[in-house]
Amino acid sequence: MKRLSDIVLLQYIALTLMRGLGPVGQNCLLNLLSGADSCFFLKESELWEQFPEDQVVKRYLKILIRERDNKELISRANQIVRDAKKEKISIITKEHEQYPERFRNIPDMPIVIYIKGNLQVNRYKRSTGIVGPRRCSDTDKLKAIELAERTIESGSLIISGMAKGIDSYAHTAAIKRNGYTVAVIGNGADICYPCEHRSLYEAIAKEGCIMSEYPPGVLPRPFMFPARNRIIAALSDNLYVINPGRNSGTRSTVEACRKYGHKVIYV
Amino acid sequence: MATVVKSMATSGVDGFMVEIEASMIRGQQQMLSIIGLPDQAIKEAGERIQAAIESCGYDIPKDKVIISLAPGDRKKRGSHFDLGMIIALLYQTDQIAPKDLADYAFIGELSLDGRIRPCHGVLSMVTEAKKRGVKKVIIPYGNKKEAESVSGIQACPVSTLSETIRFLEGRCELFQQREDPEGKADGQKRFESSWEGENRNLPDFSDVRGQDDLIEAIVLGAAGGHNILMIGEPGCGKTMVAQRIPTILPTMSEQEALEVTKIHSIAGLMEAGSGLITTRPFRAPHHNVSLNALIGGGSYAQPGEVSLAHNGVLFLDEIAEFSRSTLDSLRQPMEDKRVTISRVNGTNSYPANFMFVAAMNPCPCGYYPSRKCRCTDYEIIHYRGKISGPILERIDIQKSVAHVDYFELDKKQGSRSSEDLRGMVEKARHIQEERFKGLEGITCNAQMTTSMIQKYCHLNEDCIQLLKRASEKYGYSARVIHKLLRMARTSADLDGVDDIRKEDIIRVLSCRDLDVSSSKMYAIT
Repeated sequence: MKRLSDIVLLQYIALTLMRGLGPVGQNCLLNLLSGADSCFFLKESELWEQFPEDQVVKRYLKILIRERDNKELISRANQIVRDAKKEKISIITKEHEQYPERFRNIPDMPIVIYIKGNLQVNRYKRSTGIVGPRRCSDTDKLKAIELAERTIESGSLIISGMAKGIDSYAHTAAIKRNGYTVAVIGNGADICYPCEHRSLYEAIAKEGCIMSEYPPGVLPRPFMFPARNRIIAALSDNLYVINPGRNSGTRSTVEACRKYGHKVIYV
Repeated sequence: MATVVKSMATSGVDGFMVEIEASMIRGQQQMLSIIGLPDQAIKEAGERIQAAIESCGYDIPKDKVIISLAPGDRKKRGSHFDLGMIIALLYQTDQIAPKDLADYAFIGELSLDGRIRPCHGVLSMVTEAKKRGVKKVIIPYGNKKEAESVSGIQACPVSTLSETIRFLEGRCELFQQREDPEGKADGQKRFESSWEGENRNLPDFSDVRGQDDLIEAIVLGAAGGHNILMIGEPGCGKTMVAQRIPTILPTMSEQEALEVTKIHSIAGLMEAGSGLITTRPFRAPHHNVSLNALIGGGSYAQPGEVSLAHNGVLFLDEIAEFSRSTLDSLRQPMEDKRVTISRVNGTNSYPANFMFVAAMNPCPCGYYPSRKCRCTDYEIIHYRGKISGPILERIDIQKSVAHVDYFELDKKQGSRSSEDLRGMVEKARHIQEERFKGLEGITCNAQMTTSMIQKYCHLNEDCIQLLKRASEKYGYSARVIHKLLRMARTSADLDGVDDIRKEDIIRVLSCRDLDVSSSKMYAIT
């Protein structure tokens, strides 16, 4: 396994902290400059040499040049690394081997992910997402459990969002069947939300992994959950959707899944 | 020479004697000084006394008067020293000529125009007065019945200061004495007559319909002293049933009634003019009750809900909403049947022997397991986890309350009347009394120790098999099985049989609904 030097890790984190630069911009800059270190060490003139005649890329470079001298970024990145160490959260960047292969060809995936537990997504040939509403009937619950059990038996891993309802049953079934499961959550990986899932959270961190694109300590906010849904969509080759409501957050997962060309199956 | 007049005070549930001494110092500036660690109410008594003296046509002394409440090192509180102080003052200044002043103890608050108001804690004070050999006690007319429930001491109810003085000087008979020339009717007789008067308007179990299973469990709990948790959706009748539990508990003995009345009297909860409390108390504090209100407290360490529920039922509705620390504080009183409260102004110990009844919803929305419920299993587990383990540990019976359909109610028969049920409970309690005769501190099956369970709960092969199957299915610990055995013993006692039968085991297994329901949850715990 390739070990990243600490400074490169800090640079990756600093990139994610830049104001005005989202995952698309970050990926774009990394591809363009082939690596995080060149984003920081290349001189301004050298940077401009690289840039093609593209207005969007030009804007990203401007932001990079403006933001990279900000001393605060590196100190914040340092703080994140310290927090992650304290909470036993590993930081996986695009340069790590464990970085999910499924993310590589998608332009809006996070370049840094925070993991509590073991990230082994790349070992599994097939991955299945199971999502559904938080409030569900008993039949939906049984459907989700049965589906999850079948999925685990077929040797697939289960992706879900550790939300109330269907998500929690999918994870529970995976763990009860000794399967591997990934919970993609919409807040820092050290925070258990909703709080009644504490025991589930601990079991997932032990048997599978908790994945988040947000640094430790970030509290959940409404806009983070649709963003988290796109990661679920990107990770799942097949996405099973159980009885979504009309305004359910599940819809954003389905849309993202379609966009990435993954299969969506309604149950 | 100083005048000495007897009065009484309370400390916790017990009374103690206070001697009021009045002395005059001539040649000093006119003032009335009250000493002996008085509280604000006693300090203000000076003003009340002066106003009452004025309005009854006596003279306010022109010299310095000192009134001392002995023993001087014990804090005293309350307004009931007024009467004793004014008598001492008037006697000291030679304005009245009472006969046999030493025979009397005085309890009563003065109003400005010389009337005498009722006050708290009279029962405890009169009981103590009797113990200290006081022959007659002068009490406010409003506390007449309360004081009369103590036999062996003459209670003289008075309604004004002038009446009191006339009575003391032998110039008139009291109203009460005209009514009852002997002054001491038999205490037991009075106790019984008050029983009949009070019990007429009580709720009755015959009003409850369609909850036969629950009532069976309640009878089991009442008979064996088992604590009960009712689990059911909103509006299914948990509170209605709980309110009726005191009516099936065995009737209170005179001793028990005295204890209950004392506590209520000290807490100031007696209705004016009421006598001994003969119905078992039912206390249902709201779930935002503070720890001190539940256990007892305040600067004078007043009794809390657990003591007010002494010999009765303490009902906690929505037990999951109570704060954890409040609930946990119930552990010690439930174990020791007594609470001791320490405050700056003293340490008081109150009895707290209550039957604990709680109610809760099965889940946050309240409707599990009906189709209406949309709670996730994790939410339900979280909600149930709010009741701390040690409290749940002390609850033997967990019974789910079935939903009732109003339109089906007419077809259903009402339950048996409270009187019938009470008969069953009393019979079972009697068997238990025989069984635990001579054992200190154990009165009912719920208190059996492990060795007693082995001694008194023999199971035949059928029962063991049944219990084993249930235990494997729901993962019962040894402790839960001990609980089941205690309840099975009670169940057999209810039917008056010596050995525990298969029916008893079936009956008690149906009393662990929360365990059964929680074991069905699909979750990682």
